[in-house]
Amino acid sequence: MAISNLGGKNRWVEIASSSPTSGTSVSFTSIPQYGRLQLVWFALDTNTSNAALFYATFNNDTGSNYAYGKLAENSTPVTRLVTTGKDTNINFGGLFTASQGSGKLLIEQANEIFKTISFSHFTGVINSDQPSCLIGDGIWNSSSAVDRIDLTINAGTFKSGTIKLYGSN
Amino acid sequence: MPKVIEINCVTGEEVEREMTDKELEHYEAIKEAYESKAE
Repeated sequence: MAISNLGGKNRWVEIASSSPTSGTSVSFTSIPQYGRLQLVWFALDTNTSNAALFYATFNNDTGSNYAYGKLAENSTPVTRLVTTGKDTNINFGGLFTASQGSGKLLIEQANEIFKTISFSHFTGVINSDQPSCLIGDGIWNSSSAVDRIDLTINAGTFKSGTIKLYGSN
Repeated sequence: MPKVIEINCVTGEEVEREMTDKELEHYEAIKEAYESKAE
């Protein structure tokens, strides 16, 4: 590939960024149409006294339209976790106080009639039976272009860290 | 009431607001399902 082509098609651009210090949900709205979207979170922390479930939805879709499998690792051998084949959200596992979770969510064909997703999430743990590394792959069963992504924790509020949304065509 | 940090990707504007009824309903449903699974 010629060097001059490296700055064109397939190059990622930053769409939006947030460093939440409050709130239980971070919502990216009015997302411009890109073929691929990637959400990257780094060192997210919460003020919960225990673990908070950390999950995502697209386009405010709360129906059972998310399907994925995921593998989780902790101090025991790899544990296979499989959803029922449909869920109301994409579950990244936990965010734990002072353990600072990081990870990414890649959405392919984000403006096409079908969507595939892949994700990873890494965090410290507060006890050994909670996963510290999780990877997953799946689909969002919708023909709509992704124009909104919500990241939510089910307990406490965000305390620190950054979330960035990137796009590429 | 849980709060949402909303970032408009076109304007760059970031606001904090309360969850809508639909958002709150989904939030409570997931919270309940998670808590019942943890028990």
